[in-house]
Amino acid sequence: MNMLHYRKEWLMLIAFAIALGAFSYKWKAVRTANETASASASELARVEEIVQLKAVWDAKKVPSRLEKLKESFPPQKVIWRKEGKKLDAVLQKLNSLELNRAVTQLLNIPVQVERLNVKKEKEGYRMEFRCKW
Amino acid sequence: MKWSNRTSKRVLWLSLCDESSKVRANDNITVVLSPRWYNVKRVELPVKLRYQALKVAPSVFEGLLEEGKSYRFNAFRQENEWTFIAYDEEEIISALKMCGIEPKQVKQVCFAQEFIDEINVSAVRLNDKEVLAVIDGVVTSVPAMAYGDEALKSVDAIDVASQKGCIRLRGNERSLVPPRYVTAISVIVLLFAAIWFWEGYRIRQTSGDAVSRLEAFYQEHPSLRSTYAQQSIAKKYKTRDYQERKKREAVGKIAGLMEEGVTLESLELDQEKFRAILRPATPKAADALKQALRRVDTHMRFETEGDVVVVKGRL
Repeated sequence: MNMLHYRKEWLMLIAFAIALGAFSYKWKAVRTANETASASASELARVEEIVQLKAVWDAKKVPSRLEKLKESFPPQKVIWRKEGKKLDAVLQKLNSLELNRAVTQLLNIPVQVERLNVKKEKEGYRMEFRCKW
Repeated sequence: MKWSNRTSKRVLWLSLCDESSKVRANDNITVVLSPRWYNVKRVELPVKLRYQALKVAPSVFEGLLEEGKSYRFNAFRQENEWTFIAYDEEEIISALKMCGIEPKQVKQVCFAQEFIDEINVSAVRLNDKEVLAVIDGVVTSVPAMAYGDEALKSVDAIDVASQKGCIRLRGNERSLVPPRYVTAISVIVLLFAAIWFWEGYRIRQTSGDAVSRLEAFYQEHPSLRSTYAQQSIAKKYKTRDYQERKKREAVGKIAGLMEEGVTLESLELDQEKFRAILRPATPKAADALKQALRRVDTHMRFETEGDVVVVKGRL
């Protein structure tokens, strides 16, 4: 059989083969792009979450905020023992509003509360806490 | 099945073939037609391209061809004129078959008119009875007796290798796709191929954007590039975040229970558990408190000890 007799059919076949190759190229590009985008997006979300957690639990501003907490109460009501990044404190003779304010302020500071004890006494509430950062 | 450039090339002048012409099955033969197999006309036309000339070919031969026959046309430029050839393909195929040649063995069919330059220099002897000569710009078959015993070169001396006016026999071949559609289909398919290729290329380019954002992020936070570092930092902060949120949630829920008539007697909270003692002022407040406790959190347990309610839970 003389191949040249069917050269038009062969050209058409080659054109189809090229089109098939181009389609495969595009299909593979789409699949790769989707996989890459998905992997990159999930990795980006993961590391962004880590950065956000680090920002939330950032220890840099904790001392100043604890100091504010201490200064918002009269000195006679405050017993404050700070060693490095640990704090033992007692706030005593607090009324209910002051107790509420103290607990709210403390829990809004990004510290790790190791212990929190509140007890109602005759002169008012006594709040003891130990925290670190 | 062999390609033409790998098989032996043979040239056959159709008038010369007879039963003694032996043809191998895989031959690719170039058949040259003497003037008796076609009609020729030379015309000056103001067209430049062959397909334009072929469009007017039927009108060039109008009134000159035998009726009842189906003619095909060929055209090629010679000097300043277009040379038109009209031929009956079926007649040619029949003649070839009589010589034992199938159309599929024929590589191409050429016309003696194409070799006008060589024949014009000197007439060539086609066979014992015919001589090819040029008369008024047309290759014509002349009786050999007109040249007597004059020494004339044979048609074998004519080089038929590089002529452009040759055609291919369509004959009995059947195409899967009508030939006129093949070009259009191929062009459309190649257009789609180009579009898909371009789309794939663009997709590959833009998919790099997500990677670029990630890379830009890592440049701002180089310590997080390592997966080990990510896991270590994540574990540290996630654990801390989870534990501290649990404590704050517990205190927040207890604070929410202290509505009108309920006071806090004590609260103890550490890393693992909490315990709060609430004193409702009235029985109604006590009932409201217990109902609230049932709604708040199923992980909080409460029990009544005298006139106080003890709320406990684990973190």
